[in-house]
Amino acid sequence: MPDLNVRISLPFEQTFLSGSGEMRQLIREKNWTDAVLGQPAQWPQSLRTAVSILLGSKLPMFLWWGSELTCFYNDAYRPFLGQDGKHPQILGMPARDAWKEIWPVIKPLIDEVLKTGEAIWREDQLIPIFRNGTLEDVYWTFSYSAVMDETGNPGGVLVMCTDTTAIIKRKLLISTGETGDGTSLGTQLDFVNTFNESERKFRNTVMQAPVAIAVFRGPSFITETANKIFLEMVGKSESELIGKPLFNILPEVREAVEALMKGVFETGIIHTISEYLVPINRSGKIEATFFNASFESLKEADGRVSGIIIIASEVTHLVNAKYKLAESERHFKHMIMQSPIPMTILRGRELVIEIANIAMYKNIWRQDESEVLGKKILEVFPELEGQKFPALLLEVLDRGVPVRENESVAYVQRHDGLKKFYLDFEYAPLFDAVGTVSGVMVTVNDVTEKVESRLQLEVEEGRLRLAIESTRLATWDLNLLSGEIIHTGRLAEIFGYPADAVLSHQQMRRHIHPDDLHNVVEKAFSEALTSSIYHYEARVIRTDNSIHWIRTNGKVIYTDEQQPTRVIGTLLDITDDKVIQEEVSRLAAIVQSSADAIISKKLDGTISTWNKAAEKMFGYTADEIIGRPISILIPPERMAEEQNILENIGKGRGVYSLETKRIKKSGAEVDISVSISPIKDNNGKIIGASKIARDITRQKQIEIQIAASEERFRLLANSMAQLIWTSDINGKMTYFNQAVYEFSGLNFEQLQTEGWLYMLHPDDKEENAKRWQYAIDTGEDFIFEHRFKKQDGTYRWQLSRALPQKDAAGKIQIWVGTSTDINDIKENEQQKDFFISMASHELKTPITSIKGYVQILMAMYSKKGDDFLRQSLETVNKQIITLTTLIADLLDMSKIKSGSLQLNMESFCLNDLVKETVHEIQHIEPDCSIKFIPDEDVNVYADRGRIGQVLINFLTNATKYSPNCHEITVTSKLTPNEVVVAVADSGVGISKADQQKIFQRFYRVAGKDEKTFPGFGIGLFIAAEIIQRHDGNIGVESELGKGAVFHFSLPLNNYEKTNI
Amino acid sequence: MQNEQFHILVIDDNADILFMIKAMLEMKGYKITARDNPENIIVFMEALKPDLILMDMLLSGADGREVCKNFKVNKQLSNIPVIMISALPDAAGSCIESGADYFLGKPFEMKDLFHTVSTALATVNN
Repeated sequence: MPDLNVRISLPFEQTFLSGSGEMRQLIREKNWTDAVLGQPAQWPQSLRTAVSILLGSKLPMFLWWGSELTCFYNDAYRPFLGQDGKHPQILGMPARDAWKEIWPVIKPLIDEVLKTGEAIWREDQLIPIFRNGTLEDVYWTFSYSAVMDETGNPGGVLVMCTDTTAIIKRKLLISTGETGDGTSLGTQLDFVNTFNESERKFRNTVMQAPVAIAVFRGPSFITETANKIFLEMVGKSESELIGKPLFNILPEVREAVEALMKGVFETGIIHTISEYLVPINRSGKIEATFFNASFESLKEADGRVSGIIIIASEVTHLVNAKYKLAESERHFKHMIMQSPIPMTILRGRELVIEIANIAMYKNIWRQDESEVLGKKILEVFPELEGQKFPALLLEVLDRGVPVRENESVAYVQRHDGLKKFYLDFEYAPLFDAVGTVSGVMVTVNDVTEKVESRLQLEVEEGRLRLAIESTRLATWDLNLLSGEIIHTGRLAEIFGYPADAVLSHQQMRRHIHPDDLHNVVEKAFSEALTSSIYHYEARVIRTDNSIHWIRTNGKVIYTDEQQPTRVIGTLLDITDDKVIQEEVSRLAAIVQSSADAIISKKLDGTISTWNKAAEKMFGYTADEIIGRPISILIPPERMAEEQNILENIGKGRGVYSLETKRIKKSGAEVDISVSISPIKDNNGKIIGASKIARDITRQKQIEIQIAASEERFRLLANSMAQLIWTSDINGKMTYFNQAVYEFSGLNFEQLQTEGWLYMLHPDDKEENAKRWQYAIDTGEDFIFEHRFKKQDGTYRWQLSRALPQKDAAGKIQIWVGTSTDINDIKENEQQKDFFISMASHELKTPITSIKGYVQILMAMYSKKGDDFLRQSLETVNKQIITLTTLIADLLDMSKIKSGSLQLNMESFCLNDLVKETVHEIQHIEPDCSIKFIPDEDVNVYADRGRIGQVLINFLTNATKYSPNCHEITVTSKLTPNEVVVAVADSGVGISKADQQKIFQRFYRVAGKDEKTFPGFGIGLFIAAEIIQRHDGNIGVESELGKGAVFHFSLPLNNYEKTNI
Repeated sequence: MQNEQFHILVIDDNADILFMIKAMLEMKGYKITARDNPENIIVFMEALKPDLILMDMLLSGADGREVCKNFKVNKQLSNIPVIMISALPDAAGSCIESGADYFLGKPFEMKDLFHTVSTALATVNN
């Protein structure tokens, strides 16, 4: 196969701009991208010729071309524009903009030329132009002539001119110097001289021009002037040519140019030719020469055409070069010709058959070369009109993208009529030098035989199926008069009987499904009696009670009197078909309703099914895309991927959840996740592939967003001083923030494997592992204070918390943990605890002393009857007890906080403890009435001192918050599992809201008039802590103003209940 | 046996408390010898032969528990009951370990002092 993308380059197209000269260079270098005329390569031939002549001329020339009258001018014209004026920017500029200052003057002239096609001649006309930095008055002698374009209408205006300012100025100088009427012989002479000078100048210019210029006069074209180049071109000397009719001297050119020149002479319209073949006899030999030339009329003042000026340049060598290039093209064509694959090249939008190889003529077209070559494809094969191929060819021309199809159906007119062909074909664009598609290379392969044999096979298969079906077919013959039915054995089998069973018509009817008997079978039967066609599909219940579908086809036979007498017919078990049919329609419904695109393709890559979701996802309707190659969905850079998929499919392997990109009809890309699996026929042969594609554009976007958000959180996590880590649901560490690495000096692998344990203080390892495992097992939060080893070897206290992150369904996804350095806090607390411990000891010494002396005094003076002294001492003693309690509470508080509150467990009788405590408080608060109602005696296993402390707290609260101290009742109550001690007072009571907080630290209930009662309010907190440490419960029941019942319970489970 | 016949040695480095305890116990008729330091205490004790020792746990210049240990290894003194008093919380355990027979936390009720002393002396009686 030849390289389809070979570009046939035609560089000679632009040679009209090659060569030296300032303006040539400027045109070449100018960016024409946005110009109305477009790139030079795209310019029409007429413009190219005009520009080529213009650039080749030493005569000052200017050209306006096209709808905007784009400006061109040559090197000879350039000085007219002076310095700091229009040069070079007006090149390529619209005339209106380029000649703004004189537009009103020249526009009517241009319009006239364009409208009439007639040339205009003006002498010494004052047209000021902007040059040399100022608006200068300039006198011009000029001609405007029309240049025809391809359509034969004026496409532009060619200006040839000379600047006569100097002459006119001199003339004016002379005339202003005159007296009288302003004319004199002298001035006239002068004028004639200047005129002659101008004429001479013009002649000199012509003679020295590098292009061939000649002037011919009269209808017989007598040569008036011919420059050196012209003479060389025609191979004649000046004396041979001048003053003689052209065609007498050069008879060989008559045929080529006479008609042309006559046309110009008669109409006065300029004519240009390009690469025009003119045979010229040079040095005794006729040579084929090629010219670009313009033929222009010379007009007299009265407008009469008196002659012709020819400006020509020989382009023979260029044309020859072009042929050389054509040679390389021929080489390419030769390659095509040699190809065993049928190939042809079609040119242009006309689709002209430029070349075709033998294989094409022989195998595809079955035509002789002479019948088709050079003709339009639709002329040769008119039957292609209306088929898709012409449109596809034009599409290739327009879009420059190759089109391939396999097993495409084509109808071709043959001597024996229109025949159907199956073709594999490819249309490849051919580019010319400037990148436009100039033709299409067509490669065709006739696969009709292959396809037909395959189809034949399919037909054979169909026949086989039919044959098999016929063996399954039962026949019957029903006598309508007698009701007798004769049937084949197969019919009995269909109803579930042995083949030799004989069934009656009634018996058969009984097997019909009740739902179908009336609605289907009887209805069909009564219809059959009138229409004679008996047909239904219904369900039967077989002898084994299974339900089968049957199809009956029958025909009613009538007597001559039109009385129905017999029905004969067939009966077929169609259960399998029905099941398959239902299955198929169900699957089809699923496929159609699926939100995923479901596509199937044949092994050759053509699409065979296409569901709604696919239409939505890719923008093609099923009609548009079925039969087209799947490759149109695949970005070019992913073609290899498709190849790989096809290979896998070929081996019977699927491809699953491949994330890739595909192209929509709009050209936009779509991210999809695609699963592809082979489709097999009944014999297990792979016949295609099914694709399920899901649009994951949104998912991709979300992934990106998630990645960004994750990045943000990672950044956040890394910027934190806290240690942050995550683990999976099994407790395996998955992430550590920067602080962890900095703290531990370990890397991720070290941390993940054993580093975490390595970091832990040996004393904390066991408890840590236990708690972490518990959290993992139960999903409860992990909270623990432990010590981590820093990379310098020191340990720091850390408070670690890990919370499970759950998904919407409540399933744990990961654990997110933080560890906060609490080492300093710990140290502060230890110092505080030490301080409290010391302070309480120091406080106790003076209290011991005070208390002792008070008691001595009380003992000494209580008997002496001094009531005031006794009461005073009692008050002091009571306050000392309060003070002592406070100190003890403070110490307990610190112990609870540091976790060092120790219980000295022993077995004791709870009622005894209550009695003692009640007695003690009663002794201190003699005004109160404290009653104890005990239940059965029971021993508890507890810290006697601490439980006593709780009781003291309850009782002192009861006395404290019951100002009038009417009655306090203490009860003990046994239940099977626990013993409850309750202290009921008739005091101010506690609101529900306060009840929630009362066991918290430093909370105190406000008394009447918002006066608060004394005390730190930590007593209940300590009591609660003590009871909880005993696995008991503590609580309060109260209503505001109705007293309160404080109670605690201690469990009995582990302790023997003892009756005393 | 009457209280007057019991001789109790009280050791406390705090003079006020020492005097207070002495006053309390004298109210009950005990014979009291008070000392504010444990210097040469063994020699002193061997000479004095008290029926009961009541001492603070933390004495200036000595740990009462160490002093107690020394009594208890001395055959002549080991039978003398010791009541240790202290304002330090949770000291009871270590005091008993050091050989003290009774522990009384500071501050204490006078009746608790009397009760402990009489209980301790009851063992001497027997």
